[in-house]
Amino acid sequence: MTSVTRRQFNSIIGVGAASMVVPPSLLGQSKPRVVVVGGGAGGATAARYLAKDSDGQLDVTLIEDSDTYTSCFYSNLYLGGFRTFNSITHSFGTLASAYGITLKKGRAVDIERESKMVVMADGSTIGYDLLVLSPGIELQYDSVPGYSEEDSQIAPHAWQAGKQTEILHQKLNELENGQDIVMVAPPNPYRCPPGPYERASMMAHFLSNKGYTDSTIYILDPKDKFSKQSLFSAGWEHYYPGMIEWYSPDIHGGILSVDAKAGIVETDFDTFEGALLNIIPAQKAGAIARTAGLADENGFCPIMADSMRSIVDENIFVIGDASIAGDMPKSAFSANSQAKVAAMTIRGQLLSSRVFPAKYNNTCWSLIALNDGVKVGASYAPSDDGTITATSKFVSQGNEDATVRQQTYEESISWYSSIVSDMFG
Amino acid sequence: MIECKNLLSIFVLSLFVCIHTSNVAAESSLNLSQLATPCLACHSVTAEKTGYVGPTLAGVAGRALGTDPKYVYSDAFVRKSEEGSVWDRNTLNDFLMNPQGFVEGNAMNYPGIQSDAERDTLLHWLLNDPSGDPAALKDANYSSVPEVQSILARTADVEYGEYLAGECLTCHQLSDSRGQIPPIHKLTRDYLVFALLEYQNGTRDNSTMQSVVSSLSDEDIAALSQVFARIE
Repeated sequence: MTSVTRRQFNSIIGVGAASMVVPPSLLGQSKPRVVVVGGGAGGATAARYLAKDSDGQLDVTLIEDSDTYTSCFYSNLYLGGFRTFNSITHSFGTLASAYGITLKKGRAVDIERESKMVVMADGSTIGYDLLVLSPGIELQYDSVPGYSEEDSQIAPHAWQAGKQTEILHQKLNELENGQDIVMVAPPNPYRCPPGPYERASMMAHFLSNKGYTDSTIYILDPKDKFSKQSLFSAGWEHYYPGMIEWYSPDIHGGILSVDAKAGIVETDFDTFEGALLNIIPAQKAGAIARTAGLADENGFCPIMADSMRSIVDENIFVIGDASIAGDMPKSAFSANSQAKVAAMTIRGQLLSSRVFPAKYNNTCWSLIALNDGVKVGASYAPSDDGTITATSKFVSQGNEDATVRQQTYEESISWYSSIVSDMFG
Repeated sequence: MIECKNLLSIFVLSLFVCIHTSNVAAESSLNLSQLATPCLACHSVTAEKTGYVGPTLAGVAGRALGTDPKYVYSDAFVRKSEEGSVWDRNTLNDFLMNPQGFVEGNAMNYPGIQSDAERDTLLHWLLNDPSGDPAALKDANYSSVPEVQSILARTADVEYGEYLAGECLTCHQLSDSRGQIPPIHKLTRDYLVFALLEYQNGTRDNSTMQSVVSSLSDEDIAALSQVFARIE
């Protein structure tokens, strides 16, 4: 039996950078440069795996506009009172200190693909040999008639976490019993398919806990069905009777206009008034991906299923919400899984390490009420038609007993702590 | 006699695997002999013996709760038995994890066993006829299970395993802190293989794990188990 080498050990436990030694063959020449744009579930994971698995043979730069990362996932649990804002906010510090990743603060706005350079908002450029793009989503404010970016200060979307999350949290806390919430849910495809419905659950939980059961949450949906619908519907009826009303397009007939200041959403069927409007517009890939010409006509980026490499540019990998990842939903888990395939492929190309068949996984947990968690998930592989295809799927059952639901919730809490450590070290 | 032969074969096979992989059970925290000692202080492993403090463990798998004819059960346990449950992996697991939580007021003076791996080791023993001299069982680790053995005999591709390990690390942290998702390092390789196979054959029912293992080949399991078993 061979023993664990330092390299193998480090690459697994992920503390390689401190002991990294540049191989003699690379002395005197610059290391291959990999630039990662976006420090979320996709980008942070990609940067960390590239650094920890390459023994210091790659020059990894992570470009991120924010000082800290607040996860959109579990921000609903902050609204519900299950987590603090601090507990969903994380530092990039360990990526630099323990993994030797260069952190570049600022906004990447474009890519000069011919000369392989990322263009920053201040006009400076950063060159790369290979680029990982994980820019997340950009909200299409005008997809909701009458809504604008400016309105999001009054009627928050809170679909990009941070300041928006705080606004929604504050407005929820200011509600009085009997005051209503109107949520406009997004059309497909969008970040976090169960998210709007978990959010409604958490807002209802918060209000119900205060005894504010006279308030109603209206969900106006452009879709005629949604993720884990039967589980959410049963939960709403059980825990929050009469507090959550979901309207499909068949019923509301279309969203005609939003007046954020007046707190009014006009539909073909009726006028909905809320002391709190939560407007979640349609989404596209983060602006840089579209500006650089990597997106298709629907606004997301086609990729190769075996590597997450852009179909448009072989020197760029697009991962996470911005990519078109076949059967995989736009989730943190998906982005994290895709990042590992991209990192492995990149090391293979730049460092001649072995390249293995891509495998992907996802699970989306949602909390409906205290200790009542549900999940949906799948495993995926590239299929012959070139898309990422589910090879096995599962979803929580409607007849599960309370012990199973509590275990599912506790599993989700464990998972959060694990993925954060997998992203940031 | 059949029991003896089984025991002997378990011992011989374990020895064989030990020699070839240096996977010595004595180094493992999953020493059945140690784990079973508290059980055997009160429970017999043959149905014939009487005079023990607790009911016999012989034939416990599949037996209805509270039905050892030679044992007088507590009132609390008799009431629990009326639910009509049977001792299987789930009920035994729940009972071992928290005996008083399973049947409040029952007579077993045992705090429960929190480690999933340790509990699974005991479950494996209980579900596969817990007979024989426990001292002789000390090497009867998971490497004696034929399916485990066939995977342990494969060459483990460590580089491949390191890539595959990324799939696990999204959920399983390399720290000792444990929540609902247990740490999977610091376990023996044979136990890891055994556990993954139990997800594949449906004995273990976590849906996320069942989905993840559905795409794992024997080669994948050989590689993954090698990688995680090496992490200290």
